[in-house]
Formats: sequence, structure tokens, C-alpha cells
Amino acid sequence: MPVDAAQLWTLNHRLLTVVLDACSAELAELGLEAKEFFVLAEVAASPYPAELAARLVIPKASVTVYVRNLVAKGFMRREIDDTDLRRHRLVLTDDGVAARDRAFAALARAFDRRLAAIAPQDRAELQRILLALLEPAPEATS
Amino acid sequence: MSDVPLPSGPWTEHELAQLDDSELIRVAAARADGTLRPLVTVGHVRLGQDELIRSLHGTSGAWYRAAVASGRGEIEIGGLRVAVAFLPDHGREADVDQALRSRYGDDAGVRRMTRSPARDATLRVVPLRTGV
Repeated sequence: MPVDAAQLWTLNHRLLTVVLDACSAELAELGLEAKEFFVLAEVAASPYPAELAARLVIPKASVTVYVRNLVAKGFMRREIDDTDLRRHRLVLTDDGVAARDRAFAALARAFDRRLAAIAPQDRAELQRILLALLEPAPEATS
Repeated sequence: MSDVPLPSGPWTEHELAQLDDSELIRVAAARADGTLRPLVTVGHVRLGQDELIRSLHGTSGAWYRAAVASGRGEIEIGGLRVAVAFLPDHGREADVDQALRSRYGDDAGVRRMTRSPARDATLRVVPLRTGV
């Protein structure tokens, strides 16, 4: 039976949404909104606001506000970049690392509750499929 | 969502000024039991006297679904909390797109806000007035 790509995308998106939603109270207890968590989780790999916006595909203006909030909460700080003194890089504080790790743990618990419904070999297969999907996509032909 | 007419009223000049000054606003949709979900920070634009927001994740976004289901909630603008109704808004998506670009620029994130699925999840935010 052919599987519609749009339906698969929708199912995948719905899964991510319900898992994230299941964690929203725990994130709120940590003082985080979902998008602030995404910023917190990404900042080690993308320490500049413009990079964060591009990686997360959210408006730069939004990243500016999230970063301001996270700095005010003591989860990250701005440091002058050693390689370019004209700009700042974002660095997680110890509290930021702890909040990020606790948020990841909450997400993992929520996802694990979903994964419990499928067999161990299916989990392994799911991992294989997700890794394959994360490979660079072939060029569009049209 | 209830069919009972909402005790809504226009935004006050003070609220409009606060909205215009706020880069982003915080939105909390009401759950079915009337309690509020956690606040989320969203972009917003004004068309005339109408305040409009979109869900980046489209109609499947958690806060959007709650906002449509209950039709009620609160927003926070510059420290001001306002009880509001959320009303699905259709037919002026291009105007909202343009207002978003004018307000936030035209980066990848804004382009995401001006395409489906976000484009399909536009809500008008209307202040609720007790005693109206």
C-alpha cells in the first residue's frame, strides 16, 4: 500500500507535538517555554543568534527575545567572541546546562512512555529509519 | 467553543500602544476546565484595530488547538494581562503575511510564518470585557 508523504509528515509532527505537550508543565516548572528550550538545546552547537535563528527556522526577532529571556533567567550569558571581538557568542551557564538536561530528561521520559507501546525490535527499526531520513535529501528534479 | 456571544470590546488606546511596543507577546490558551495552559511567546501583527497571531506549527500546534477549542485565554503585553477570545481568522492571509514581513523582516523564520502550515493557523485576538 503506498504511503502518502504528507500524511507521514503530519503523523511525525503530531507525535513530536504530543510529546512536547506532555512535557509543557515540567518545562514550565523549569522556567522554560518550548521554544526557549529549543534555543537552550541548540546554543552549544550554534552559539550566535543568527545561527540559532537559521538552525531553528524561527524569526531572528524571536530569537532575540528568547535569548534576552534566557539571559535574564540566568540560563545563558553573552561573551565576547575571541575570534571576532565585534560580536558576542552565547554560552550556557551552569544553571542553563542543568535546565537543558532536566528538560531533555523530561522529554525522554514522555517519549519513552510512547515508545513502550512498540516492541524493542521496532524501536531499533525506528532508529534506523530516522537516521536514514536525516541523511542529506537528493536534489529535487522539478 | 460556546455559541454564547462574547463580552468583547475594542482594544483601548493604552493596550494598542502596548501591543505596538511589544516585539512579541505571551499567550496562554484556556483548557477545557478553564485553567490556563503555560504562556507561550509568539509574534503578532495589527491590521487596523485587529490583533492577529499565528501558530508556527500550524493547526496541529498544541497552544493553537487549545486556543481554538476553548476560544478563550489571556495574553501578556508589557506586564499587562488581558483576558481575550481567540477567533480563527481567514481571508486576509496575504495582508497578515505582509504585516509580518514589515514587522519582523524576511528571514527564514519569517518565511516559515508566512507559509503553510503557520499561514493556516491565524487567530484574531479580541479583548474580553467584564460588564460590557
